[in-house]
Amino acid sequence: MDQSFNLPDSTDWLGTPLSLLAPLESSLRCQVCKDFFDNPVITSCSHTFCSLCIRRCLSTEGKCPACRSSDQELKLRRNWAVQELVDAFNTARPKVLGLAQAEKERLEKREDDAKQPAQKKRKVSRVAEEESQVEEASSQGRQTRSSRTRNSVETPGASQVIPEVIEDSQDDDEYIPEDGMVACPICSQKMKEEAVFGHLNVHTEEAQPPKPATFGSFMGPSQKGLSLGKPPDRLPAINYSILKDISLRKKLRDLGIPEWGPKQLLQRRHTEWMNLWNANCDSKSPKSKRVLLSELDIWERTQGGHAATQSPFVSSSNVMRKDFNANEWSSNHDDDFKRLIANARKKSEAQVRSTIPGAASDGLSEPAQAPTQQHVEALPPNGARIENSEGSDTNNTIDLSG
Amino acid sequence: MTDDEPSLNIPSLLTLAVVSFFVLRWFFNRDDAPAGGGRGRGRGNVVNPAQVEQISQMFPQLSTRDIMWDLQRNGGSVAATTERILTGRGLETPPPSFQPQVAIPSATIPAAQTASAAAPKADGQDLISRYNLSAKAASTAEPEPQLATPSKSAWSQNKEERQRLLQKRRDDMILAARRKMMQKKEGSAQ
Amino acid sequence: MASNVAQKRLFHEYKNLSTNPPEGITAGPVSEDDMFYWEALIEGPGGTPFEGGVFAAELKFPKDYPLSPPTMKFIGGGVWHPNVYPNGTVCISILHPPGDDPNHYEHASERWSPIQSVEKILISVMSMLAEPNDESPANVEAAKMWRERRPEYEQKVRDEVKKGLGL
Repeated sequence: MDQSFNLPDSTDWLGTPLSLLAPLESSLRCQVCKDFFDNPVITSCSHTFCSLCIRRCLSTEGKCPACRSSDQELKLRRNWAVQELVDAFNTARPKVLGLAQAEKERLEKREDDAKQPAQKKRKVSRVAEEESQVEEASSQGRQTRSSRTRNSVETPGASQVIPEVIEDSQDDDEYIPEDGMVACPICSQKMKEEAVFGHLNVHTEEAQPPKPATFGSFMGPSQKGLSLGKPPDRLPAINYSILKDISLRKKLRDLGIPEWGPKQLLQRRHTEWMNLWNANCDSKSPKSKRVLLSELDIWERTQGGHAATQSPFVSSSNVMRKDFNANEWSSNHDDDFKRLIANARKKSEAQVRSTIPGAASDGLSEPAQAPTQQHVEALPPNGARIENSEGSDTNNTIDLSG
Repeated sequence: MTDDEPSLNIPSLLTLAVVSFFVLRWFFNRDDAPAGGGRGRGRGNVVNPAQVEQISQMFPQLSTRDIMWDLQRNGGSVAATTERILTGRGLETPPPSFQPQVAIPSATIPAAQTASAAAPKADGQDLISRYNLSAKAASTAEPEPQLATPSKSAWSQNKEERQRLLQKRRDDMILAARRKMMQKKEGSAQ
Repeated sequence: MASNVAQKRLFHEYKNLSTNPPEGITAGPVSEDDMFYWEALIEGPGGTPFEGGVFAAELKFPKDYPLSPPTMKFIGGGVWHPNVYPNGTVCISILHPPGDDPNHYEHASERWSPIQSVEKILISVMSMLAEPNDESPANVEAAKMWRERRPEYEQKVRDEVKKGLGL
């Protein structure tokens, strides 16, 4: 979660002079994960989502999340234009946002200064001079200042971009030489235009592994194959109902993914793997199988077999049912209970914000608890045992739940 | 007691601690029960809020009313209630007449004095007491302008700061609504 | 990654609701250590007996959020409303996954979809307070009172609102 403390968001623009960029940014974000489009694909109803997001949605309900028209994974098509938009926006974003925030701070500062200009001028004459210049120039000053900021802050970044552009144009120049010779895009060897295509085959044969890696093998050379050669084959959907337990297990083994657990879990794991794999096929620079496997492992820990919960999809809607199986629920949510118990302990140590009527304020809940603790403290003579006795209470509860 | 032995192992310590904990709570409950009550009356309608809190933290899907009902019937044993829930028997729905009473110490809260004379009702827990706002509600009876305007920058890079800002927005919202309601009440009374 | 998706998305929503909150709504996780458990405050919509009130609710998110909807429950006294269970659980179409419609009374378009959000849920609940859905009462008694003895219903709601604010 640490990285998300600085989670960029469309709301970053709000409050800055560029607040109109907020809708632009949110339209470059996937409506399902709220992140920038990652391998965007377009549905047959013309909505764009991240490849993985829409695959997960389609595999749960088979409908487009935006308009609820039925769709199939097979009909998804890549949306390169959106990918380029996102990439370009992402490259420009930090600088533009930096400028916008600097401008915002400047405006705020000016407002503050305007409130007490006399003091400022007397005390910090140099700064005041600068500020008064800006104030005199008003709209003009705004421009100068912002360009000044750009110069001071952005020079290193700007110098990065411009040479790139120049290089590109140089490349373009080289592609139209007077002698009619063309450079091979891979080895830059000059040759006749007609010869390039034949020559290119040499490179592709060199680069490609003799045979695409089988899905069962653990990564290894297949990473190179994935990123350089033709995109890896997509995994077909399986009709789980006609597949027997054993053959499904075998299928998972062939794919190189874990094959333990009941059939329902196997199905869900296969679906998740299929989504991960096929979404990866949509990527311009596909990830290696090892990365995908580690992603599946995370899924396993949070939603799969290691999560000790059934699909929350089922459980969340079941709580209100009459035939709700409390026993199953309690065993399934073991982890949650443990976490909650830990929370409860932490809370009660600090301060109890009780959910009990009439006992919510400090004055009420503390006396209710304090005597218990006092007694516990009174009996064991040393501190170590107090800790143990507190811990034991929790342990006891956990044992019961297990 | 076995705790003086050097070969003290953790399970026995835990057992001892659990047992002593329950014994002490029994003592505490007995002390707290109305004086002169027999077993039936001593059990009374009094439920320890800490216990209910503990259980509702473990099983958030259960209503506090059900928990209080079960706790009251088994004499305030958290373990028994927990076990009952975990074994799948579930909790019974309390009869509509069930009015859970919470073990309220003799000290009266300031909120009860400032608020109307009506005793706090069991199922009508208000937001002021829920979020410990009684002090603020009393002190800010008159509208404060800077409180009324919600701060625009309700976001911070700092986790604690964010939490605090959220809490403040929540408190402000409740207090503002309370002030409005009080003004309306006064306006209609005149 | 699966859980990261849910956590990240919830964090996005949290940030969005904090920096750009809709009128009369405050929401966020009780603790950022657990992004799957939120508390929200909703103001009672104007022109209804709920006007002037503030209602607290807890939101619990499933691990595969946003594929599945969260659950929402009013806390602290509950809300006297035809579509709110006596224990506070809110029964509203946006909180129901599309595949799951035992009563066949809801249009699929009103139900949960991954592009919905906490903000949309809370806004829907606000409008639900103003206009109860009589077809699917969760609280039969309240529904009956709302249908047959409207003044009594409104008075009860007003009393609950006052009580909720500690007045």
